[in-house]
Amino acid sequence: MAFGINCDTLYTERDMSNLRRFQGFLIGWAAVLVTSILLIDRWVAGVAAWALVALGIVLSLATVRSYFVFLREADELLRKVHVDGLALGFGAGLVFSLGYRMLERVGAPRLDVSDSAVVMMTFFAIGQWIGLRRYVAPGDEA
Amino acid sequence: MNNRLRVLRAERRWSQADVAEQLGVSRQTINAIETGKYDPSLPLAFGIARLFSLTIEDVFLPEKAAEDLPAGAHRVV
Repeated sequence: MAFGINCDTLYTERDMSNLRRFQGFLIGWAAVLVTSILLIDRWVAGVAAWALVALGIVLSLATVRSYFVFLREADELLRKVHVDGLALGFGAGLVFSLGYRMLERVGAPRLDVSDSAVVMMTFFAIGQWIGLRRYVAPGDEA
Repeated sequence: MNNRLRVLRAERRWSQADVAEQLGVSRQTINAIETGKYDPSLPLAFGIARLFSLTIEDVFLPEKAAEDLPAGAHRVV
């Protein structure tokens, strides 16, 4: 169940398998990212710090690759829902990252570059919700 | 795009899940095609036609062509 819509019948077994692999990489990447920030800010420096950063980059690339595989092999309706979400997320992120630079010039508070990622992910989720509402009907089994 | 998927499926007493399993797609994909919310890709359209031993034109009909047909008429290919 997601966004109040039963998605159990939207994912094939292959989709679930690919999604679990993607989620595994995502959790691993997040764990390494948080751990790296804590360690580098307090205790670790030099080569060890570089190694932690490199590990995070490798895991981030593996995460993106696993999402590509998920998307490429996904059920075509599921892929459409995700692509709709990606389009909205990318568009919102682009508008925010470029548009907010102008707002900063007229007095809006300065934001970190990673705030664009939050906007992109938020609108990615909204785009998926819109796609689910648009294409996926509840029940209707005949 | 209009289609006769629901009718063809009912004639064979297949559930949406049965069709989805045979085509390797999700049940929601079949449901979305039947309800006209989603037009399938060409490979899936071919797969659906093949599943029912029909041509694509027997299963799918452009909306314009469907409007042109008199009620109850059948297309002859």
